[in-house]
Amino acid sequence: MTTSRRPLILLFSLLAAIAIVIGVGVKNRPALAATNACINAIPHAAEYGRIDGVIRAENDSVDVVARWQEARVAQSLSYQSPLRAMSPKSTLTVCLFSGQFVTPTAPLPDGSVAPPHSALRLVVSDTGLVTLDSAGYLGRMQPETPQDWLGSMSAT
Amino acid sequence: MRRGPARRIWAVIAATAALVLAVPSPAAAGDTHIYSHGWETSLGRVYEGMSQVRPNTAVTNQPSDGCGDYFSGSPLYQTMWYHVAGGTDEDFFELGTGHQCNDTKRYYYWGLNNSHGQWIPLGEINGVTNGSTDHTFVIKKAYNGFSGWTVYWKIDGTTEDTYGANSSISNDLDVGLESYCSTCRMSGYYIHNLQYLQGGTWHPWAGRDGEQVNKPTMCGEWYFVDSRWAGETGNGIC
Repeated sequence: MTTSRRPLILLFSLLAAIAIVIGVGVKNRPALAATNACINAIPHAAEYGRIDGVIRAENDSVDVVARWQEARVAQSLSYQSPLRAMSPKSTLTVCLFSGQFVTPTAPLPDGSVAPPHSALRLVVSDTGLVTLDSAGYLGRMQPETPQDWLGSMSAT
Repeated sequence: MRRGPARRIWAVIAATAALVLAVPSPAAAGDTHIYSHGWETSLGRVYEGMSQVRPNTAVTNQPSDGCGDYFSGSPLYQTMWYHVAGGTDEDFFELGTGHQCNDTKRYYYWGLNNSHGQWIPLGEINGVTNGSTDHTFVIKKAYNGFSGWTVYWKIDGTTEDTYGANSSISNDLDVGLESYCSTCRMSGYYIHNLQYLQGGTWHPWAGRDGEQVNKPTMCGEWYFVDSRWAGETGNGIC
């Protein structure tokens, strides 16, 4: 990491952490626990590229996370999430990070270079297992979390 | 605000700061992002599948990062993309070979991009061997009558993964090399027997419909209508 980047990365991460903690409410212990889990996953996430901050952090059951994963590809595939192999009693944390990542992209329709992904989503188990869920672009990761997806389902 | 919650806030902030400072990021993570690729599009929305034959080619001068997770560090991807017509231009299926960790972590991978441009990995096979041996890579969709459509990812004749799928087929087949590593070098490798599937029958690519190469770091050129070279040689010559 170059020296010149560290102050900016530190500032952004501090602001993100403050925003997340205040935003979820200091009495919302589950949300704080999710945030802590995602912060603890930062070293893992940094393997995929540069981390600018934690954007979203959410705890859910295995079933809800699996259904959310399956719904995101339902237009293309009849897909069963590998998370269904986990114990249904497990709690999973969905973490969305911002930054710049080295996950696979494809050339744009005109053949030119696609920009690197700016969003990375990991799933962290309650035993500390971290798996890559997806990568994409900030503002285009909808539904960003399982609860976002459930909310959109109930609204229709 | 009570003292207890305030302490928790500062603890989280301090933990974040400590982790961000302590975690080294790859020096050029994402700063280099280049391709060498060529595509087949001239027949329009008819492509039920695609096939390529190529070796898994060694990488030199690659940083020793990305030694744990797939799709991390300073990767090179020898790959192909099956763009699905009818969706957004970002809908595609992919099948390729990843090289990471000073080319000691080599793996086959497959996945898809959904209509929001989200890359979703579906599977990986670790322990791939580099060399001159050619391997056959296939992505195809097949209509199974009562069962509807199925998509297959196949390597050397073995179906590695399969799912029920919608009926959308491709109007854009693309093969090539994607790199996130400016120091890496990969000798030019030969991609050949490029074929598309139509009406259940395989046909050779016939168009040399387009190519894009980030020279001089990358190299790439058509050799024949159904074959091309690709590499990261540093001088634009394969």
